Amino acid sequence: MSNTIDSPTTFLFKNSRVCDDPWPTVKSVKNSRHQLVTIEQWLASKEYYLGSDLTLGIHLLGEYYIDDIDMLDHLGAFSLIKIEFTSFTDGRGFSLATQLRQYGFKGELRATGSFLLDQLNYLQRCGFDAFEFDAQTDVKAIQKALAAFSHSYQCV
Amino acid sequence: MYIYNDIDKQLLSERIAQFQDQTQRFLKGDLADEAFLPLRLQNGLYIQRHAPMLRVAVPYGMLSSAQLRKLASISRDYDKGYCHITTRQNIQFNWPKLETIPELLKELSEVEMHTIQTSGNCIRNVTSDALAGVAADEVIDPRPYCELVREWSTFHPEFAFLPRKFKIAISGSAQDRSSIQFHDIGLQLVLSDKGRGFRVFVGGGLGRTPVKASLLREFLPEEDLLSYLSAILRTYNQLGRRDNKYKARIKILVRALGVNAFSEKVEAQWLRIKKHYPKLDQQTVKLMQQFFSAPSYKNFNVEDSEFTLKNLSNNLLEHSQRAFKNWLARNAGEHKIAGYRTVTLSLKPTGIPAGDVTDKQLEAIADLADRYSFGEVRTTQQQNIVLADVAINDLLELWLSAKQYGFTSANVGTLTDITCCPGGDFCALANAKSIPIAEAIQRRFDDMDYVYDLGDLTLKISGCMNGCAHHSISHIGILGVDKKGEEFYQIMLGGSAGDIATASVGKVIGPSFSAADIPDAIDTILQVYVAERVENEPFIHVVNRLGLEPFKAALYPKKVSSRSTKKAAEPH
Ligand code: HEM
Ligand code: SF4
Repeated sequence: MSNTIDSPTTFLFKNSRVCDDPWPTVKSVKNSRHQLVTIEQWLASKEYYLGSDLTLGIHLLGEYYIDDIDMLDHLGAFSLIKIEFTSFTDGRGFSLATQLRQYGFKGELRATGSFLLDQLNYLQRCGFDAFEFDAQTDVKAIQKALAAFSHSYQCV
Repeated sequence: MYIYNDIDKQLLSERIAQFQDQTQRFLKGDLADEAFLPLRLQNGLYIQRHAPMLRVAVPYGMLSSAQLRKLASISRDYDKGYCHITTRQNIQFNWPKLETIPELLKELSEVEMHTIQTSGNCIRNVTSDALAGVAADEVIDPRPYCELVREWSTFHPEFAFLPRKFKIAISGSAQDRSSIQFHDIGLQLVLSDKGRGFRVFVGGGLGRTPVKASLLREFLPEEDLLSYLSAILRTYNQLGRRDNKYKARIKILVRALGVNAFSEKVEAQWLRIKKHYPKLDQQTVKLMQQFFSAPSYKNFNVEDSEFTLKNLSNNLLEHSQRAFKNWLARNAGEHKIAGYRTVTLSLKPTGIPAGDVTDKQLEAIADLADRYSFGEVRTTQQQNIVLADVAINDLLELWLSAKQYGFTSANVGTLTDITCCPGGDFCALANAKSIPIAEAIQRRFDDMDYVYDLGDLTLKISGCMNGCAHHSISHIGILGVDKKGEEFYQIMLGGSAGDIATASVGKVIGPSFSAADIPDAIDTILQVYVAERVENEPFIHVVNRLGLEPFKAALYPKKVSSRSTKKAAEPH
């Protein structure tokens, strides 16, 4: 539920708890081997990134139509795919995430941007396993929302 | 009928808890208006002209007598003693109070009912044939597939925030009683040499741009149903327009891309992902079919039943005999089992808003269902109630009891069986009232012999172009329009939906009419029909054969003559 990519006022929730975030944002540089790229950077310098020994992540907007993205063959190159929701009523990111999992992405799938607590259970079932929240978000409310439903009618 | 298992029950109670929590957060100010909006809509809650409106799902139109009794007590305890049957086979409450809704939902859940996904930009309640399982022309009973799709679409994590609402209808008979071609996805069950499967239609819809669906796939094997639906929904979710809600339905996407390009995208997606979805195997389908197995019909001999049918009313007085026979002719239908009939309880007596039922009537329907139709009923797209399995022997008794509750108006499928949306009396989106127009037409055409002579005819009235009453696929459609702040009505002719091949959207006949002029205009149209028909030619055939011209000429004579006098006058 953080609104800006760069905001230091967010925290990462992963594996049922609050975690340290080893990743920089696309705009910031952290002193680590982790590098988060945009789709444009990736497309422009794919060979360079594939040849490097960086731990790679990619930042996508929920509205990306995956058939347009020349990265399907390289899903294994990414340890993190971050999907940014520009509006909580825009459900495209739900399909993008489901597709990435169906196409074999095994790394961290992180939601950021504008989504509601009330959407967490569905986001999780679409394959998201990490979420960025505003600093003031109540952790208990997050856990409760993730566990909203005990079963699902869909196998996928 | 489908019976909930433990998981269904648990999910439903979890949903109620979730929505109660959301409502509380909203009332406390912890959840913003914009955030609460899609959440409440996905729980069937609209804010309307006078009060909240709550839409209850009736999956593919089936209701048990226990559910009817619960709806009756809810109407009494939480509403003003009545509710409303919609054209999507659902039930609406028009006057519940926001703070009582969590309690109301709990009561509904006691009879395995809910309001989930009856509104909002998600996959809505699946609709089907009100005569499923009993129609003489049925190829395959659609209900097991409706239930499978209901489960698949309920709380679907990927498809809860679509560009716009999404409606699926499934039909399994030769005649299409579910208007499948006017749904976002329409599925027609078929039997081919490859086994059971579906003809898949996509991109139909009503609303302000009525569109007949395109055929997306001639044959989809039964086992691939859910993976294929997922591929369609995903393509729509990703590519459907989100910048303009009037252009956000799948019909607009299909039209923009062309059905072939749309199909290529769906097929490509489907090939990639189908392995991730379980196939609908024979076992699953069989298990589901068991929920919809035939009730314990008695064995009747065909000839005996025919004889009984002829003589049922012998002991009635002459005028009652006539009334009963009219009712049999209009409100009772063929059944695939010898000795049985389907019976439609008309909710269209003159002067009652179409589809409105009181608590007492709901209880009476429950009693009739228990006594005469194995405890079940169906709601119809025409806002009536069907008792699907009535023994011919019981027809007279049923008629006599149903009469006391006002269900025996013998007008099913005729001019006065008007489908009508809530319109300006209730709906915040309306341009004009619709209920009083329906009543005025019923009052004008109160000579039932004339109405019977007109034969099968559909007349539907919507209060605005959203078209909730399906006016654009009606033989005669009436649409409320706003002309400089005044209520006017446009008339359309030639819409139809019952036949897959010839289904069509009606055409506007000309300038609109004031409310007061509508009965006359309808009268004029009917007179043209009566004059032009050949023997028993139905209304819709005459319209298709002659086009709009003769009707226009009769409806707008003054315009033509005033223009010609003007022309004639000019040289002077
Ligand atoms: C009173 C509250 C209601 C509101 C605010 C409402 C709103 C709407 C809107 C905005 C549309 C157009 C959607 C679109 O084209 O994207 C629509 C369509 C429709 N509504 Fe309603 N409606 C209401 C009640 C009803 C009732 C009472 C019925 C049944 C009698 C109904 C059945 C339908 C149907 C069948 C459609 C058209 C089919 C289609 O979506 O293509 N609605 N409604
Ligand atoms: S057609 Fe228009 S007036 Fe009638 S119920 Fe639908 S939105 Fe309301």
